[in-house]
Amino acid sequence: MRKLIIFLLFFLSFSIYSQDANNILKQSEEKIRGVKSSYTEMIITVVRPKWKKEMTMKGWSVGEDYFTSVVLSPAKEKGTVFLKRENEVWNYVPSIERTIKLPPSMMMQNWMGTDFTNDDLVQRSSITDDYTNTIIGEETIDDLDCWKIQLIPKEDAPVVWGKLLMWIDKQDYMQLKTQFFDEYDDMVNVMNSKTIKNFGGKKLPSVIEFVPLEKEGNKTIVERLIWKFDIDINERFFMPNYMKNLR
Amino acid sequence: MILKIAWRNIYRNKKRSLITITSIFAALFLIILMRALQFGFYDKLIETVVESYAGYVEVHADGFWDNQNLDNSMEVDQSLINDIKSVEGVDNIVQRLQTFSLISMGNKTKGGVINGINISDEQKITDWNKKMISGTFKIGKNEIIIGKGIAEYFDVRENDTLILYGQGYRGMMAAGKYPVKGVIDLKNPNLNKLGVFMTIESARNYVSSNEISTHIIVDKKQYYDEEKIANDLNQVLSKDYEIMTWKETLPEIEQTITADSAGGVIMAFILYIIVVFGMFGTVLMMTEERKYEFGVLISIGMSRIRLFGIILIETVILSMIGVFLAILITYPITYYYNLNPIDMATLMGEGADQMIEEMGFSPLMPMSIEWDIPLTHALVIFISSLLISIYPAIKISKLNPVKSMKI
Repeated sequence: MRKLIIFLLFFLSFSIYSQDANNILKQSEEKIRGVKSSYTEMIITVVRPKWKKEMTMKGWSVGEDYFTSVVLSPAKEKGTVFLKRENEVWNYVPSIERTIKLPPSMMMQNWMGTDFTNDDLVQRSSITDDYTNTIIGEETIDDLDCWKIQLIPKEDAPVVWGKLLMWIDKQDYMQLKTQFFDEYDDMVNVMNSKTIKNFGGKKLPSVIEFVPLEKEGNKTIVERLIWKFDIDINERFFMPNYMKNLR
Repeated sequence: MILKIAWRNIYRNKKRSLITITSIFAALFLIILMRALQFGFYDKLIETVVESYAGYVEVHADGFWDNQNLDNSMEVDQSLINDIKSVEGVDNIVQRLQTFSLISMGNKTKGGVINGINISDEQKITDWNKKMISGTFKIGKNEIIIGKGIAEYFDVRENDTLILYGQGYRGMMAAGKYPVKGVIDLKNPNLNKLGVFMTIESARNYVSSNEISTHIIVDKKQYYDEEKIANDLNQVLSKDYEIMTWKETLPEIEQTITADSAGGVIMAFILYIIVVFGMFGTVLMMTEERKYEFGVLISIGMSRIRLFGIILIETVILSMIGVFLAILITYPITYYYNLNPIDMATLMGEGADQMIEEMGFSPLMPMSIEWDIPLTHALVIFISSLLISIYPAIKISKLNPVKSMKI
């Protein structure tokens, strides 16, 4: 009898724990995206063994489904727009005055020469709906207490990863570190977040470093200069035929 | 003295000599013509593909060939050019900047290869300026020449604008609008379907780079061996560069030639067997026929070695006559067809023209007039005639004059 109670308690605690993990992830996602919308200005640095490239960009997002960004520099790429509408990615290139809807064949290509793919931009999966999440430990990163959460994709989820590990700090729900594993449980990418700043009253890491482990010496650094949340954004911003007016 | 006797022997039995000479002549005639046609075809193939595009030797930045990416390009300075030119046999060199891009017009899009070229230097190596179907080869800044296949795909006319879109240098995006100023027929369907040409400066601007190149095409002086030039270049240049001959950059051409040539060698081998056995048959018959004569000669005191010498010289003279006749008659034929190539298209009837061109060959097949073809084959025949004369030698050494003279 006592064994049964212990077992039940254990089972109960486990389920509470797992709901907890989902909650934590939801809170942290909401923090990044804002409840409604967000606006950001950022510097993206592409680091390669022999060279480096820096771009500045503006970006607007509404929820998970709508995101648009426009390049401010370098001068040659100025005015280039990427738009995400639900599962589609559109690209406006000013030098040819064309709006292109990226075909599926181009989704796995690098996005603007960074280590992100066009597919990462779309991210059809949701970390709360498409993964089974469990807290598997507690660790400290940069003196911040973190939950270590394991995300295993559900069977029918549109996910390319075999597993994700995320470190989220207990106080401000910041995603401080993410490790991406493939189906063979080998680590493929690491994302580190650092330099915590105050953006409109929210404490968030301003620098994200994305490191693909297979390619030595490659990484992409995203540094946010401005990050605003829950502002009003004109709906037109997310229309393909408005892309050429974005600046 | 021996020579005189040998000649008289040949002259004595005209019919037998004629048969031997004819069999040698016929086989050698066929072999030489076949090989001349084959080698002529290979030369033409190499010329159309290698000389018109790839060059005999190419220099790239190390690692470019396996990962053909602009980030594996090189900056070419004068000292590198001087180093390459210092190698013996190197003729003209030219730089190119090559990159893959999407080509688009209206609703149609296809892949292509952008070639940034140096218009004036390029004319020293390739004959592109003579292959223009329309427009001019002397294009200006941000103007392009396209292959015939691309022009047909988009149904482009001169001054229409194509959009090029692809990956630039060091993570930059490459995109631009370019007016078509000419259409070129490179006589190779693959090149026609992919090739887009612009000045190397425009191409550098397109990919947002400084003074980079992906290829240095090295032309060789006539009669120099490209393998030797490649080896010498390897000695001169540092490890930062890779040097490849057309055999490495276009392995399919090399393989086609090797496979086809192997077939030719087998054919030649079969013909050789026929010739050699024909010759052997004549020699065998002759030895049997002349046993009596040999017996008489030996019994009146002629040494066996001298006798063998006569037989040997007879065989050599017979094969020499056949060989010279074959060379003498095939040379004007190969020479004629070298100047007036056989047009396979007219031989095969209507429509064949296009079919052959689609396979990547030129329908014109000249014959090779290189001397090493008739000479090597003549040498083979000559050596086999020497080998054949071993038989009568053995017979003579064992000959018993008394027995042989009994009828």
